[in-house]
Amino acid sequence: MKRSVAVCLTLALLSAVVLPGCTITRSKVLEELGVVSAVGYDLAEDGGDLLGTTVLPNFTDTGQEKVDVLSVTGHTSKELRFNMSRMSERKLVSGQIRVVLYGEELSRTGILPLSDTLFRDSEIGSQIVLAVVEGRAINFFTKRYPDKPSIDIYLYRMLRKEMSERSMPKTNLHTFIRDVYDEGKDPVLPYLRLGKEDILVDGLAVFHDDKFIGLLNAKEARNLAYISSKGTSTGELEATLKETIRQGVHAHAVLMYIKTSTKWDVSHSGGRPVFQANVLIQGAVSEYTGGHNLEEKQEIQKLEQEFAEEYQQELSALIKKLQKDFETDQLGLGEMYRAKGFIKELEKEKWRELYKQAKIDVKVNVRILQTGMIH
Amino acid sequence: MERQGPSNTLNSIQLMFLIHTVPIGVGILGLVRFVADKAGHDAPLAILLSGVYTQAAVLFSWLLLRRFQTLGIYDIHRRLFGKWMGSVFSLLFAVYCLFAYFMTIRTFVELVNTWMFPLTPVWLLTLLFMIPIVYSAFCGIRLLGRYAISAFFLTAWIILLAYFPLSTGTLSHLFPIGSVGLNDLFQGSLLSALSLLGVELLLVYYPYVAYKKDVLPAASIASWSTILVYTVIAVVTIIFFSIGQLGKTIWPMLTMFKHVQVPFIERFETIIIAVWLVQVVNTSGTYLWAGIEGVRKAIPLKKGIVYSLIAAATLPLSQMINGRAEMNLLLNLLSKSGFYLMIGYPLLLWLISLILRRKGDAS
Repeated sequence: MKRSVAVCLTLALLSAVVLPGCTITRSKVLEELGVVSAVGYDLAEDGGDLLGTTVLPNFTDTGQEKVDVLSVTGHTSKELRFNMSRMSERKLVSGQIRVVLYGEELSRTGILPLSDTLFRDSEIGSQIVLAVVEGRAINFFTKRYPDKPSIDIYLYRMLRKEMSERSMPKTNLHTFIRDVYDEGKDPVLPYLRLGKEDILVDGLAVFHDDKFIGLLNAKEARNLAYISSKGTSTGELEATLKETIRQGVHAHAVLMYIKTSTKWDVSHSGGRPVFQANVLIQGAVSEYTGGHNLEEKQEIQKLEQEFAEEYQQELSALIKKLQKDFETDQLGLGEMYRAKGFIKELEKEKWRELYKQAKIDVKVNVRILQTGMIH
Repeated sequence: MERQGPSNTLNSIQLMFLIHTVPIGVGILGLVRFVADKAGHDAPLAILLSGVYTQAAVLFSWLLLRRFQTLGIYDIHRRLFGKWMGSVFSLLFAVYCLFAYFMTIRTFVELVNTWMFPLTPVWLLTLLFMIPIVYSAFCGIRLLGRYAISAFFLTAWIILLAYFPLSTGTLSHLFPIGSVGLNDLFQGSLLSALSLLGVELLLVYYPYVAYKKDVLPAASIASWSTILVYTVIAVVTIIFFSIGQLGKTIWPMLTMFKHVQVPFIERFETIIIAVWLVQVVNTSGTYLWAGIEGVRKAIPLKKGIVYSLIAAATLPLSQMINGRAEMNLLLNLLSKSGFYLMIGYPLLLWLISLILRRKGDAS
């Protein structure tokens, strides 16, 4: 190749590397941006409109963080954004959204359209946390929490922590959308309640498709996490034992450092699905108020047995609640049923019918691995 | 026209990497969604099955090329159909190559528009991406061959990121394996056509290949390893998404890597899109080179002139396409025509050459 051509091409290549940096037609200077960090949606008080609330951390000259809360009404979430940007001197961008809250009433009417637009927006990460709140989402943002970091970080950290400790199943934008579109599974989201000066994670909101229909309390939420995924957690399982310490007072025992795994046997008999869950829980005794010697194998086995019975009841009650009361499939049984090949194409309505008739049994095995520093 | 010398020959390794990496362009980003439309949760199986098509394409091309010894497709046209008709056929093949070049670049521009710079005009992005593409094509086959090797190693690490979607996925989505039935599997595998295109360029590389004996094994290994990459991606995608959600996602691969979150960086897909330009330049540049080869075999024009003309035409054309629907229509056209061209065309030419008893290198 001629030298001049080579020089031309090199220059061209160089500009191809350098120029894209100059192509951004709108400048993104941090001070000029309203970086939305949390969003809340409610039904507006008058009619079917949406009430949207956004939280914008405001970086002041002194370095202190102040939070702006904007709220407006509109039909779609993007219209909300348009209306909102008229209220702020800064340009609103959604790339840093971490938490999205849905008011209870709105959640009952279905939130897929609202979460769908989040998923559609390439700026928004797929691991942001969604949650349903008691009452209205706007109240959560307008309230001040002394001694807490800004609301978005507070909520995000709290919920992520809860999930990583398996106090509740892991949920985020992606899992929510995935489960809504999945024929054989229904989603859950964390449920939040306002405390006096803080926010409580108060169990799980159970969804039927994308509609919020019921609540699981904190204990049930934890049990759902244990049964629906494999893993370890530091969480505690408590059991009331048959053994009595004094007249009428039962002994208690607590398991910690729990490792759970669930094996599902799926079968089909007499036109209805049959599920058998074999749950294995391994843990260490961290508290025991009874008087038996836990170094003896028999005593340990007895303890294991009692744990298993108690926990088996809890799990059965949870499953019954999901199956009979809510008629929703949070465990993804439909997906398992399909995966075993019992049904060629899973349709939601068809599965709902089958699910109502399904026989679901739980068998729990508890294994105590150690008893702490004493026996 | 350049002479075939050591400065523009391909060795077998380069050939292998070219055939392996050129199909991996923009098609793979949306591949699994198309296939899952028909094949459902058995998409990986359908994609594995589509390896048969590329193998057939390689085999037929090899049969044809072997018969004509050192000639490429453009010279074979001339040998089979005479000077004028041969030129017409060569031009048609070249137009197809240029169409593929154009669609690759345009799809990538759309992607960058959607994911990174929504307000940057199409022509500007096209212009910027065209610079390395035209550069690589202009420098010829040897550079492209070397570039393919580096493109492979620059993008191969992406597959490791599959750990993140796998760790939150549902394994049971894959089962029961093979339950959708042969018919759906077959139809699904046809839908992967867009991502398979690139193997047919073997017809153009052939005269430049140094060791003709290696062509069949090298091309077979390369095409199957492409299929392997696709299958792995499909397995991960199916595990990660539910079928309903997958059907709504335009670029499942990117959405999947959007899920990657490491402490020092969130939103990994931004990096992947940037790195993906390496692959796009590879695919698009090779097609451009192949197309211009054909144009110049048919019409004796100076190399610089042809490149300037094509480059000048690309800009307004890419500005003319508007919206996802039009893109889909054109991509469909590309995948259909490319699919027949890849498998049917070499077979047809081979049969014609058998009937006409034409063979290579009498001159």
